[in-house]
Amino acid sequence: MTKSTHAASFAFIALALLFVGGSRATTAYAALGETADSITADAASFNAVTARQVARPALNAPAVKAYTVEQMTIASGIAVKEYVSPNGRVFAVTWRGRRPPDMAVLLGSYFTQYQNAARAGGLTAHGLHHASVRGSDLTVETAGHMRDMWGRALLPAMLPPGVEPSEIQ
Amino acid sequence: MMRSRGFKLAAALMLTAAIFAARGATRCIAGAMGAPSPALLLPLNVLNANVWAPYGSYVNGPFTSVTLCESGTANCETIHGVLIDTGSSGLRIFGGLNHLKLPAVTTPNGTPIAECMPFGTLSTWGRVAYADVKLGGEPVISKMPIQLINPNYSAMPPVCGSGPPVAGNPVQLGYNGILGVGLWGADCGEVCTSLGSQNPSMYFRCPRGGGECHVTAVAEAQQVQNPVALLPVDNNGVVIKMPAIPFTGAPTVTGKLVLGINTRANNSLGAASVFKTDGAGNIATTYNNVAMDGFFDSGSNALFFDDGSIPQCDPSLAPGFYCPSSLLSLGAINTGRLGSASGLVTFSVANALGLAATGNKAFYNVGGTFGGSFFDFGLPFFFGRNVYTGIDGRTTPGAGTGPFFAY
Repeated sequence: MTKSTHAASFAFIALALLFVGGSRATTAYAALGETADSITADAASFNAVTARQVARPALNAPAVKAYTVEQMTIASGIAVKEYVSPNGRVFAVTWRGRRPPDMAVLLGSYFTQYQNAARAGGLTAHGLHHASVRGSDLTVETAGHMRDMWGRALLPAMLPPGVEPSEIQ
Repeated sequence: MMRSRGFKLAAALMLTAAIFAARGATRCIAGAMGAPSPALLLPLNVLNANVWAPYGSYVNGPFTSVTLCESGTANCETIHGVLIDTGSSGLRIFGGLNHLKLPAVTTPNGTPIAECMPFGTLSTWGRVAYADVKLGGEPVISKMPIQLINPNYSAMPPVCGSGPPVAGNPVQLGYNGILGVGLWGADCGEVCTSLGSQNPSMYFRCPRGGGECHVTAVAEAQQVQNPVALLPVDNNGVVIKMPAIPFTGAPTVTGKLVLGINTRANNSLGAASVFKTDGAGNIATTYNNVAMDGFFDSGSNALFFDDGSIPQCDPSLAPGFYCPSSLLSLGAINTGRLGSASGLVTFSVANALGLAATGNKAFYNVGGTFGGSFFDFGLPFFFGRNVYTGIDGRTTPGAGTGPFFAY
């Protein structure tokens, strides 16, 4: 994964959001909890068609780059964001689209923990369209309605200092 | 939520009874125990929408009964305990409850079609079959594609197991099927009719002799259907009418699912405001000065929205639910897309664990988190209201063309 070396600023974020990469971007892609740099799988394996990066400052210390957001649009038009901490680890992923992405790929080694916790918690607690799953070191929410689904997986212990879960959208 | 030991014991007893009933039934399937008594005679376009827990576990769910028949015959079964869901479209029944011979929906060359439909909580896998479907006193809908949920059907493709857990059985979910009466006529729609880049990999062809299932294109008419859209008259949407309930909830609630909008005296729009949705099925909702996407979903059992100032419940007891120390009265502004209606709605959030301790099954004031930029007006919103769901492309006098919600 290439990391932005730009100093974070809101102007930079605005510009970054306007940028849409060409097809078959080669941006690296990583699974939750893993070191972004060490991942060899790239977005092509996920059929990503666009990718972009946004550096985000810490809300309470704007001079400090708190994390980097890798954004890509994968097969079926699902928008995926991966949140990478300054130490290069993916501490959260989110998605939105017609269906969930391949969560086994996105969650990596945490996928089994997620599935086990989801089943143990029961599939009725929040109704048909909403789940809030707490693993031992993992929080996963999956929700939405037919044709518009959303999800977020994060590792609370790996949130960079000053970052609130509510920022991860 | 609702995790007390007493509750679990009661749920287990209910499960045992319900399973026994399912095995013994031939023409009247599982989940009838404890159901509120049906009204003696309902108008032909009205179904019960009763809040109770068919297997003791599900809180804040409206349930009804649907009759399936082998096409053109009098061989029929009535499935009880079917969740009425405005957040999805299509009829899905657990295959194990079906004893009818229902023919497969196939590709043009005769290969059976199966579906993996993702929901927020789970995914449903199983074959797609034609059934004659009867809703209330409406005319029979002939040869309608439905999903028969069965995790063991054929060879489930890996993509189906890579999302939320695959639904296993009625006990696990707390209901026998899903009656999706949402905004769409066909569940997936146009993107599933070709194998283009936007195809979400929901429909599969599964060879009769076994072997891998592969993504396949399915015409909208062969996709799993919202039965309401196929009715001869009351086909433009539904109204869910729920009475108001006490602050501490109710053990059961007798509500109504009325088919059609402004097609008869009993489904008139009246003074309801119409909120047109965008192509994804969302209206605009503003909460705490934050703009987000809103939707109205009888298949969600709480009001789900984000407010970091509201204390959450102990995650080991009720993860993702709100547990304020005192009752909160809150408001949000709903605005339709396409410049339609706008207005403030008020709602309240009480302590979810306190509510659970009552043992009741229906609550208008239970809330929970929704980490995305969404406001999910789940079943609590429906109590004391008539909530209308207008189907995509259908015209409703006084409301225009769907998709829309109204209340």
